[in-house]
Amino acid sequence: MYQNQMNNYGYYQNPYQANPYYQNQMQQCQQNQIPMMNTIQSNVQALSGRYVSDFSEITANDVPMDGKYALFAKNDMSEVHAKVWDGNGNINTIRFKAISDEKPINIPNSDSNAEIGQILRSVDDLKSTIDDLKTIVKGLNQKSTRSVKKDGDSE
Amino acid sequence: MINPVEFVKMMRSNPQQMMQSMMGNNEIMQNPIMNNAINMYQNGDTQGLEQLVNNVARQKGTSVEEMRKRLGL
Repeated sequence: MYQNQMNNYGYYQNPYQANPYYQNQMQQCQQNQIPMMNTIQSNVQALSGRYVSDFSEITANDVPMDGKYALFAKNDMSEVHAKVWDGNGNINTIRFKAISDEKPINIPNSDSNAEIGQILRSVDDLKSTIDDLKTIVKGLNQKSTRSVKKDGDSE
Repeated sequence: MINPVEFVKMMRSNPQQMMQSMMGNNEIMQNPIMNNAINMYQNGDTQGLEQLVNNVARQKGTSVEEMRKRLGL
């Protein structure tokens, strides 16, 4: 049976191909499918519009007079304009601008002020420590000069 | 799409019939400008119609006078 379905070249051959009833059914199926596909295609509404490098390129003829919006996007997608004819013969425009998802780095002022205050306090502490050390060193120097003088006097 | 010259001729010969046929045309009635123009025509709003035509001409980068010349009116 399987061998009968293989033609001389070894390809599979449809066993119903030669059947006139089957061929008739296939044709009917195909004929029914074509109008269905046409109906689907006609129901799809295409958007009017195009990409532009500058919005000044858009002319009145680019906007359809059927009351539907035409969309014009900048090449870099930074801005999109939707244009439509109104009943008074004017073209109305709605502008859409891109919003970047990247969040800017913001240092809160209150935190930075607190940090600066802390640094200033530390500097003040360091200053007072240095002053203390200076007085200690001064005192030590005075002591050592006295002792040297005393030594000198004894000689 | 109707030829503008033919359109003007038809409007001159029998405007009422022209209006009736336009009102029966879905495609034309979906056009907001035509819809408004027909309403204004029916209400006798000639000033509104004139303003509408001026607006369309301005948007198209032309003037009513220029359009008249082109149509040979």
